Amino acid sequence: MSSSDDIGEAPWAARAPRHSLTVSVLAAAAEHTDCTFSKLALAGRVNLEKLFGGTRYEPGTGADPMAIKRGRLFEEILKKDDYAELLNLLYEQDAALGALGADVRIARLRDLSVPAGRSGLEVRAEATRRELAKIARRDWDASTLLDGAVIRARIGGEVAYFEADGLAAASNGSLHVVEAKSFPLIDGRCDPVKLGAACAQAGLYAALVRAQLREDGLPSEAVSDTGFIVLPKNTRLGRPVLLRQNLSFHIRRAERLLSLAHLDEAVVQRIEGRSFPAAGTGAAERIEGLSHLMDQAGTHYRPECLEHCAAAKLCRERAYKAGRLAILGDQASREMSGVETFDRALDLAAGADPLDHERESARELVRARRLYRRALKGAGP
Amino acid sequence: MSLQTLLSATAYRQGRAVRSALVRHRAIESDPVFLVAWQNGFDPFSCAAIAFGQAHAAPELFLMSGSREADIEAREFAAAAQRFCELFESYAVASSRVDYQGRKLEVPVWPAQVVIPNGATLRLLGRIGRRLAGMRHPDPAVTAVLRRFACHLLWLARHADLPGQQIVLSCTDFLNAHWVSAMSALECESLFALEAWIAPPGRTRGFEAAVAAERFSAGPQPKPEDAQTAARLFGALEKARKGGGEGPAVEEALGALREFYRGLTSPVWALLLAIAGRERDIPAGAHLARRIERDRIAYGLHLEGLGRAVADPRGLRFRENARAAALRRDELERAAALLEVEEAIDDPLRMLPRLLSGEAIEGEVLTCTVSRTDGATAVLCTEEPCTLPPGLALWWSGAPFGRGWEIERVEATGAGSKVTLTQPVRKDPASCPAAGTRAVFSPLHFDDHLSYALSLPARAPWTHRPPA
Ligand code: SF4
Repeated sequence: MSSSDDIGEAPWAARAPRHSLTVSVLAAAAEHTDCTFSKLALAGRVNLEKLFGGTRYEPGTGADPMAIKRGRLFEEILKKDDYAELLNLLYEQDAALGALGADVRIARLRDLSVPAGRSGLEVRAEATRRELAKIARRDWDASTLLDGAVIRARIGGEVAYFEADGLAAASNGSLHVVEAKSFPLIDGRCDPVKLGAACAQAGLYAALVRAQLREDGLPSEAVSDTGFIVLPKNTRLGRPVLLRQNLSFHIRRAERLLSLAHLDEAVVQRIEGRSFPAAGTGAAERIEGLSHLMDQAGTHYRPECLEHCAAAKLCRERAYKAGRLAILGDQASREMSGVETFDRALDLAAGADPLDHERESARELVRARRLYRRALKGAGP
Repeated sequence: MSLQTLLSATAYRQGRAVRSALVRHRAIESDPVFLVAWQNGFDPFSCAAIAFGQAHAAPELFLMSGSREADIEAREFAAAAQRFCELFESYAVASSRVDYQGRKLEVPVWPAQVVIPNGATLRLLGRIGRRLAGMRHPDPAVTAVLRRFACHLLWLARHADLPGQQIVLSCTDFLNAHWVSAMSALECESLFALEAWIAPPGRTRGFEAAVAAERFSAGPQPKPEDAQTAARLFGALEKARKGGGEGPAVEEALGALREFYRGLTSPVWALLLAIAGRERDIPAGAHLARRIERDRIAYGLHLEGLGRAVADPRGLRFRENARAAALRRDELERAAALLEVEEAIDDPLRMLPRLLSGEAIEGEVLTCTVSRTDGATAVLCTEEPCTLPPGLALWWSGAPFGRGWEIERVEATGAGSKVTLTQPVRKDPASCPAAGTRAVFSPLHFDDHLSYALSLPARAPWTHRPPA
């Protein structure tokens, strides 16, 4: 899913390289709703990858081209004979879809003859909106499957268009999101991390469609909490299988993200006068500018950032230099509640006076140090 | 967790990883098979290249050229399969007799060992095994060697789940079990970064060394830039093949691919060798011998059943029924429990989690009286208050078997406690702690149930059978 948009003036992003929003950009941002810097970048459509390009913090990006090829081939297999295989699988899974019998209508929104670029997307978004309305109203000529839907949404106060890969619709007015992924389901099991990411993306589609329906005064419950992830089964790409997934958690999270993408005034005021640097600036200057902006806006580094955010290498270094326990991960920070840095943990372990909120962790650290030292001396078991 | 944080904080301050174990808890054989595999981005059930061998020679690299022709693909896999089987089975040259579950078994004197960079490589090997098990070729010899290879890979993937096994040594898992750095679990999956924290070059600190080392991948997924190069080279090969047959253009493209994967493999190979060499020098835990024995029996049984599995691959089950799953779960749980006991007895650092959680007590033995007729009584003076209730059984870590010591009384003494423990059965004085020494009493002990496999009826009850 990708988007094209008309970016309004976000003064902090005026000079920065921009990119269009995609569902993967949104899904990545959903992992960092607690990071103001990342929200600023999202709201301003700042292309962080470009900004970090050529610096020592450049993210190692780019998917494996062979994996992309596999994904495309799998999609082609699914699209063969008007999605015959996919529809069969959906029939098996969903009694409501099954009730449709042979009366299948596929809305090929991708094939509409529309101009390229934003105006074409606008036309497709309108067509999608009409199709969605028919499904939600349970019109007799509502589509069974939407191919190439485009959803218009406001992100950070600006209009963006998202292109969906596929949406399945049931005849009883309820619409299910279908997400095709090419990682395999082996002996009934698949990679849980990849499945989680696929569900997060499906949850975002669902949240965007619900927002669209609400905007049109239609019942948003028409979008079901149940989504389908289509995967190749076992070793062969040509045998798809459908996983029924409850997306309610992911939809709620996505809705929260969409609402959070609107920056509040306080944040905008806090960074007054600062902005993301221009792509053409020298590497050192760019990093300096980004670091200042991070200081002012605030960040919330966690190791997961390394998987989702192009700024992660810089944030990791900053967190490391500050000696923050957060670089170990959420669990370590949670379990050492009240203790923020490695140095403080060591001081407390050595017997420094704890503050009130550090007392519990300090007691544990003192014990750990004493027992560890004794074990090292060989005085233990 | 406080211990983990303390060790991470120490590593942070020192700028290098610190040890979280005083002894080595896994065997590293003198001449294991080292293996590096590279994923084929297009097909998760295949690999682009696989390299293996022993330390004394350069690794043999086998390229899977991604040919759409089944014959070429099978033959490429067969070449790797043939060599791997020879190597992996070569450990079974000499055998000796052991008693195993009432049977006299002839098993190899030493088990094979395969050293791989990480868990992702193991999962890839399992997937390749899964695919090759069903691959057929008109030449029965090719089919047979592919199946044999598949059987080995599937068995390795399964055996690797057994806690404490050492036939498969995943280096990241091994290092993470023995060292603590100031990296997150996610970063600790990078073998290069992990090693950079353990042995940072020169005066570099672990963090900087790890950041620099992140440009390398230990497989199976190459770094994005390398994946782009691989895709370009495979594209060139495909084009050359379209041009017709096996001409010089194809040879040239294959040569470029081989060179590329050799380049990717060589730093990983050097790293595996360096890690094995360094870690082998660390003294091994006393109970390693028991686990080596278990491994050699498992290896022997695998080789014994190999002929059957190759002849009839239907015997290779990919899904377990309820009975098999229950038995397997029981086996894994018992192995994990036994491993915890063995490691804690071998290594005081491994006992720390039990002490920190308050389930175990440590202190100075004030008195220990052993009666020839009535058992024994020990009085332990702990520096920390003992919160364990009277009546609870604990085992002295110096002799963690048989009947446990019962807590009879706990009395407060300043900051700590005076704990009286009694042993109701007659004890050999050697299995009691001596007065004036320090001792640990914990719930960890060698229980008979850890050695006995679960017994289930051969046929699952109707509640656990799939619908007819
Ligand atoms: S890497 Fe930095 S900017 Fe990105 S989400 Fe994490 S903390 Fe925020």
